[in-house]
Amino acid sequence: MKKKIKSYLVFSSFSYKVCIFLLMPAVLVGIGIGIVSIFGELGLTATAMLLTMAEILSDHWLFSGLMAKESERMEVLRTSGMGMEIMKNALILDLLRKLLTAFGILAVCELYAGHWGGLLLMAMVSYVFSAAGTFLARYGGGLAVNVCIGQISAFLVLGCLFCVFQSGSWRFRVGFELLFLALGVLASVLTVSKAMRKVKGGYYDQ
Amino acid sequence: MKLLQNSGIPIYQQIAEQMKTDILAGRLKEGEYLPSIRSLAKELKISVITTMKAYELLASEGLVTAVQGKGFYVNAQDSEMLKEQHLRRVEEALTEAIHAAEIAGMPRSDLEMTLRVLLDMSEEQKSEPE
Amino acid sequence: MKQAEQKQESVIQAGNLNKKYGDFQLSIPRLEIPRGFATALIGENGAGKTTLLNILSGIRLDFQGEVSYFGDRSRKLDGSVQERIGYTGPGSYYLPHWTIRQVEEISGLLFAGFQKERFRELCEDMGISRSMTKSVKKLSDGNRMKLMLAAVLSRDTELLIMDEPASPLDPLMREQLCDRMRDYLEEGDGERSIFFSTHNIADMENVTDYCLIMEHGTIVEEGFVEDLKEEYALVKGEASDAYQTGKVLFSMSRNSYGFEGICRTRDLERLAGLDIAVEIPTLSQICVAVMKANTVNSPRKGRDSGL
Repeated sequence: MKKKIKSYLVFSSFSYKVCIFLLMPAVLVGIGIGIVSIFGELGLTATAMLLTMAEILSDHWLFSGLMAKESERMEVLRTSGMGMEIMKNALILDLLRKLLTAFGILAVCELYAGHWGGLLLMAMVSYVFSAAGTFLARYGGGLAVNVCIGQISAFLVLGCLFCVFQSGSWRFRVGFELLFLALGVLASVLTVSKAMRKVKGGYYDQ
Repeated sequence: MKLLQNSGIPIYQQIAEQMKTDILAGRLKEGEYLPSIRSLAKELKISVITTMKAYELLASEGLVTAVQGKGFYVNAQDSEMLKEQHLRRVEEALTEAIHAAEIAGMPRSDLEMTLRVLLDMSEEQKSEPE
Repeated sequence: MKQAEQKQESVIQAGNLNKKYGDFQLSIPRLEIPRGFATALIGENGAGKTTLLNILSGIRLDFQGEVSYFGDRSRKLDGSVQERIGYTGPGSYYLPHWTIRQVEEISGLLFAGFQKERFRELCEDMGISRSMTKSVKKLSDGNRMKLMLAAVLSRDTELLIMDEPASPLDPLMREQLCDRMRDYLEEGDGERSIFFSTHNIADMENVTDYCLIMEHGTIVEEGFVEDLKEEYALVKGEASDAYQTGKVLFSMSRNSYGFEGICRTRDLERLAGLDIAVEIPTLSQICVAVMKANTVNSPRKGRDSGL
């Protein structure tokens, strides 16, 4: 596991690591708590939205930036039998981090709000759209694409959570949770395999 | 060892000549291993193939023997064989001189006198203090 | 005694290599790189050198043909073989934003035989250790080459594949590169080999043992350097004889004072009687002559380039 973590960390610059592991969570928790103290539970939904947007945006400085540019060919990965495995581990760990961040931030906010329930759902919805959004953003296009997809995803998060909370039905809630668990798995698998396919494409000419 | 770049003699040959002189003069002893082809190449700053060819030339002249995995060691220089070799060289050199004299139209007596003069000069040089 | 006649172990063996690249076609029916020596792949830019080296190092997988390594016909390129090969090249090798420290990190992750201590020593030796926190994109070409060299020499390898290692270096650094190459071979005592490409052999001539001359995707001449120097002769003569010699010479250049050209040693007797001087050519001169003869795309003999 330690090696997998190293594989993930080696891809990002120091400033990225500071943002992703310190600044972003701190800021989001701060905002989350702030909104919750004013608007109550709505703040949790808002936090989930912002988190999704932040994740998709920040990916620009990690993998979507990498995969979009032709110049970043990282031939070093292809001179070793371990190259592809390291890339894959990095991608997987990135998703794992997204998931843990989602749970972590929302859990802290819920703790503050004193209201339990809905954590799984909100975290999963946020995660699914983060993963899907990153998946799309890695097709290319630069920062602007990340921004657009980020904002659209945020509203989709809002939409989903709104539907669920409005309906009130317990069965509906659980159904939704299961749906998003499945979608979470699907989005993760797709994201990693698509990115890996692009990286392996480097072995071949256009 | 002085290796000349533009002398017209291939470098490997120059190396072989130098080593041959060392062997015949006894500076390289019988049974002693020559430096490995790669370490010699490293020291002289030349290609490995050059040192390899030099050693092979020495081997073909019977001065060294190649041992798989260990390198080249100096052969016992049979003094009889050495003498033979040198006598042969004398014959070759003199035959060449005779041939050249023919072409130049040099009469036999002149040739014999030239040999005597050169011998005298060489002896004088040897007895002179360095 | 010709080197080629002796049984020689090979470090890379390839057959029927074919690949279309750009407007050209890489077409090499047979390739054998001898073990224990430094082999140079010489050719102009665009001759196909990088294409070939990318195939041999595993950077590119789209090609037709077979390649085997370390004298074993069944040993194809896989992780364990790549672990024994060190590659340096001019392309986008590292992530531009990586610092030298991150390069150290990724090298350790990718290669089991990578030694951090040795890497730091080499960086120190080569004078790049002050730039440990500098990103790769901010390094000069020369320093980037040194970085790749440090990374590759800190591993325990048996084959170095280097694509134009001398190009980004100044003359002093080139000599140091040659020294390091000789050190590498010496420490390996016959088990290590180097295969490098260059478009200017003059700088690497005294570290080259075997050479392959490439033109338009094919190998047009190859051999041990000492053998090639016996097979080709450098002929110099008077301008008045230029026309006649031109028919025999492989390639020639001339001016109003005289001419100079390369011919096969066995053809020298055809020049008997002419007022010429014969010398041993440098590898560089041989390469230029062979490449010229092949560029013109005519039968090899007597082409007056009228330079």
